[in-house]
Amino acid sequence: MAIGREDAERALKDAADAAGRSHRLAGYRGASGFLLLWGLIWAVADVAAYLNPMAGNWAWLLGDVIGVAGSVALGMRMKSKGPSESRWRGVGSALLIAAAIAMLAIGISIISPLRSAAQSQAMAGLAAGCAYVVLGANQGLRIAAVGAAMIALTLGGWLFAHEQFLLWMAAAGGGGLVLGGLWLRTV
Amino acid sequence: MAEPDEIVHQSTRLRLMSVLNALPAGEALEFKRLKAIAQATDGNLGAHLATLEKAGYVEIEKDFVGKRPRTRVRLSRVGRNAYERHLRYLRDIIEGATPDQA
Repeated sequence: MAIGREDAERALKDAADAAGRSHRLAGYRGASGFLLLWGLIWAVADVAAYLNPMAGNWAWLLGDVIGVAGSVALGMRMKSKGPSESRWRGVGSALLIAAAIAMLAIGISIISPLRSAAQSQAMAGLAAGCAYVVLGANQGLRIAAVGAAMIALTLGGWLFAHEQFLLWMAAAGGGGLVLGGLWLRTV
Repeated sequence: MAEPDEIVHQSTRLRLMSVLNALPAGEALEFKRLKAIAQATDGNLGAHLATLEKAGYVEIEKDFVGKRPRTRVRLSRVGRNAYERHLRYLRDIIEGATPDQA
């Protein structure tokens, strides 16, 4: 069997490209679980907030607890070749994103306190969208596209949905994440 | 010193094994997805998988999801070792550790 240097280089490049595609698509599959989980929580909590602000506060509190616990569980389930190391990396990424969003929320509430549930939801939508764009730069463009769509839908809702903003965010924010999660599974 | 593996080196089979090797150990991939990710246009994909299966490099499972037949492929431990050995061999050629055989 004769293998020349050029042939070897071409074969290694083919192998690396195929492995890269495989890694990226596995990343999409892993991310889709997080999007579906948070999309559902978002939709339910914002519908509750639209119907009754107090119920919305409780729904978000409960939703955050379920979301963080679910994200940790999903991260643990993400198996990989470098066994426990990658599993913890998944958990770490999820917690890092949650921590970044929480820090942003705390920072904004100190600098310029949010006065309504709609403002809080708009900021949460923008922060989550930015987090997905940043994550997508590393994990694959589809994730970044989901984040960009979230930002656009949040701003669109803020400008045009007015009194129906929370309902808009339930549909566009929560529903958008669910659709994004399903979209990531189609590849 | 690493040795070349003719079964792995064929371009379609190399791509198939690269995709499977990138998955978590023991994880299987559906035939349709494997074909898409490997960008395999080769009409003889089934024959290539049969070659890999015969060598013990992949395991092929056929079952049904509802009424829909499903074929799943996973890389065996033997296959993973063979793949890594062959890639090491290719790297050796580039680095000059193995004489260029062309």
